[in-house]
Amino acid sequence: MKPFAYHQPGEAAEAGRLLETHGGQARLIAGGSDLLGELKDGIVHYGQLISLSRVKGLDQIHQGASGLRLGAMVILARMEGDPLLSGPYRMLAEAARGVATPEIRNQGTLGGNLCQRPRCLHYRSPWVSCLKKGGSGCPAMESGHQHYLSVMGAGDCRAVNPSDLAPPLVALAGVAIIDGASGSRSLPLTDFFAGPDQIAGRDNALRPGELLVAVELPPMPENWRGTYLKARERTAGDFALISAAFGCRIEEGRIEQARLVLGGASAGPMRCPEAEALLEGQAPSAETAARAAEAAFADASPLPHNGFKLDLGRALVSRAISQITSSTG
Amino acid sequence: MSMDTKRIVTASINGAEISVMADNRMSLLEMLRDAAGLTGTKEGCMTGDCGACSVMMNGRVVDSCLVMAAEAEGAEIETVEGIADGKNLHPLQRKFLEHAALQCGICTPGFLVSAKALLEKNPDPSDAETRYWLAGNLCRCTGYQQIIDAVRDAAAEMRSSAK
Ligand code: FES
Ligand code: FES
Repeated sequence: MKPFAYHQPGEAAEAGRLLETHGGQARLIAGGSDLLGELKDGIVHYGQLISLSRVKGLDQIHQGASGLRLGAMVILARMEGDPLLSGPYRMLAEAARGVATPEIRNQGTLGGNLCQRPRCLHYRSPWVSCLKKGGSGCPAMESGHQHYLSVMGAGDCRAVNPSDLAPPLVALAGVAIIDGASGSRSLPLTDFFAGPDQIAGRDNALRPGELLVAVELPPMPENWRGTYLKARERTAGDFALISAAFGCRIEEGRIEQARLVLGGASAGPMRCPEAEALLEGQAPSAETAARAAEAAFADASPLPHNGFKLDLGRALVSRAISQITSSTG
Repeated sequence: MSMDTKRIVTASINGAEISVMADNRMSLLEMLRDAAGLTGTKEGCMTGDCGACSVMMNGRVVDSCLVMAAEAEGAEIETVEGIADGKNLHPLQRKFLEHAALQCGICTPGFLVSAKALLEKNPDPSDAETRYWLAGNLCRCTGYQQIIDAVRDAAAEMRSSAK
């Protein structure tokens, strides 16, 4: 690890100013569980680390008239058990429980989870150059290790965002609250993450000098329920190969307000409007769930070694739909 | 450009206030082992995968290899060295010995810290709960069953002596 300066600003604006001053030399550090791995493995170097641990007010979960606000520095362990994450928001607690290990959930934060770097083995290897690390080619396309790559989209880089919180937050219509040296703005999470035709090297829409300070969730109907299911190689401490967040409410025996979001399928969390439209107004049944699962992956273009994620993904989607539609109403 | 790459970090470690000179790159694990001389906490992977470095920080169990020493400023840290009461072993430590829940022992300090944190939160964990809450601690030797048995046996003893 090369030496670096370590800043612990007390205000988000100051963190933004430091980011702006030091440009590409600077990186934010929240819980550190992803970044420290990258630094130790030598795949990234920064001269300036800007810690968010002392920034005031970022570790709150707050319920207001306009919905629920989750600070970027809320740790995942708190999300597992916070009483505000119940009813429609319970899927967030479920997703938090599935992240990594208890130790890491005590360190890892919501903001860090959303802004973590991809798990593509080529990106994580200090020995190979790749587009995300500023190299000129992508070794993943010719490789057998494609399980952490997308099955949709056609960007030059097929790495996916590994966040388990992103799919349920998108399903709940989350909005990213961004602060920085040049003021604050908000952006729907659907526009926050890189799209299927991502530009390598850019994981999200944060501009230089900006940081994610919170996620806001609009109010949901009391009877809306969701779940988050993830497929992984080991049951504990592992990243999702593919995942599905699904939620809806049942009105007079019919599915309403269906939201389906896939993780690990595209560069960022991906909403599935066709599948949602198929479900809307339908009576729950195994056939309906299977048709929606088919529709969710209709546009898939898997790589030679990750087609298995389609079967896993369809199974997760039908299971999530059946689980929610049979227990709601 | 000049930059400060070192700082003095002061933390409470097992109840004693300790100050060390820490390079910015130093992890809490290195601060405990190399600067404070508390080598009970082990290094397995340095990447958050094994839990051998588990310590309590402000009441929560964390992987000390993934915590910057700078973040320990003002924190309360408890390590495996703080678990026994003088010469009297903690029930978890005794039960680990009775159940032969260790072989090489590199994972043991981390398991003890994590298990103690678990029992403080849940004095009567089921088998599944014990496995879930210890999922961040890896053991290459025992096959885990003895560890789970030791933790649940210690929990039973602590419950009956609390009555
Ligand atoms: S040494 Fe910290 S988790 Fe392995
Ligand atoms: S006793 Fe050897 S790793 Fe656990």
